[in-house]
Amino acid sequence: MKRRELVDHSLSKTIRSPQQILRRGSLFHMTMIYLTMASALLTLAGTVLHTILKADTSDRREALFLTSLLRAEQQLRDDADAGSLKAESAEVMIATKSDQTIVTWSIDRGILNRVVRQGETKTATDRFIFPAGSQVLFQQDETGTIVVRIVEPSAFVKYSAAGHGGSNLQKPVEVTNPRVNSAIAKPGVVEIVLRGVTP
Amino acid sequence: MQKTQLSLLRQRSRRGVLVIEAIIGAIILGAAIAMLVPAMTAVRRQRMAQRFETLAMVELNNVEELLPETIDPASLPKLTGWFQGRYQQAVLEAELLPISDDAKTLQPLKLTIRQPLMESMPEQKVSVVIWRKAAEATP
Repeated sequence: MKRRELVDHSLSKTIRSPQQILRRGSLFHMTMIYLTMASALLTLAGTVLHTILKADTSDRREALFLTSLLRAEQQLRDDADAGSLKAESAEVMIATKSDQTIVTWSIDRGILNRVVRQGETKTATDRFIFPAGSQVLFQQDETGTIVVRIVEPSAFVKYSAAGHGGSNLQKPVEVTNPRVNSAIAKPGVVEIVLRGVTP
Repeated sequence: MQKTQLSLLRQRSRRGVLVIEAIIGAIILGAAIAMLVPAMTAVRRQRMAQRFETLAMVELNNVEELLPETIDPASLPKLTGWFQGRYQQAVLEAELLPISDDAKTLQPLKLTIRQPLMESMPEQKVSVVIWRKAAEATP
């Protein structure tokens, strides 16, 4: 009788034996439902976290680009105003000031270096670091106008982890700055126009 | 024996709690995403606006470099190719300001780059005033 009561209150119409009631485990489709819901929630949570962290990284990279661009532009224009500017090659530019100070601008991949020399003495140095994968070059036309062309890195550039800013310089160019079909990702270009002397 | 069986039955009846927990979790995550998406959009727009301001400033300085020493009102400057390629709707406006009595030989020119509408952001504009030699009045 006791056994009968125990079984009667369940919705099942069949009478189960105690062995059946004691059966462990769950139905397969219920397990699949739980699994689906849990994986959907975990994926969602992961996506949210990834988006936040990625936004932080891309903000840092963007800030580095804009800050370096503004600093370099201001310094280049100051040098152009103070003396005569001439692009020796696509990677070297020299500004000669009236007080015989010579300012050398050189490009080392994405880094612009500025060295000021008074005679043999080096009086000042400065660096303008653009994000890894950036390309900088000097172009001078026959009228003397110099264009400093800065190509932004493509979306496929592999960056070093945060805090390892210089380690990208140790990697080959094809890794840090891979060739990308322009139809897929057109790189952004910024040009700084300066007045130079006629070559 | 009966007590053990009853507790087992209770445990079996707790199955539904997992569903409720999952639903509550989904609601919390949904609320978090509902807050996150507009915030991320706002951050992205802010970044685009900041980028436009910086690049427009560089372009205004470029235009100033390319201007002749004496301003000719008939031939006002234009945007250079790289900037026009990036912001195709951007417009450069040049406005001759009145000459000051203190500097009669210098003509102030206000250059403004205007970006009408970019991804439902309000209009943006960046201006700079430059000074050039005033053109001599023709008799």
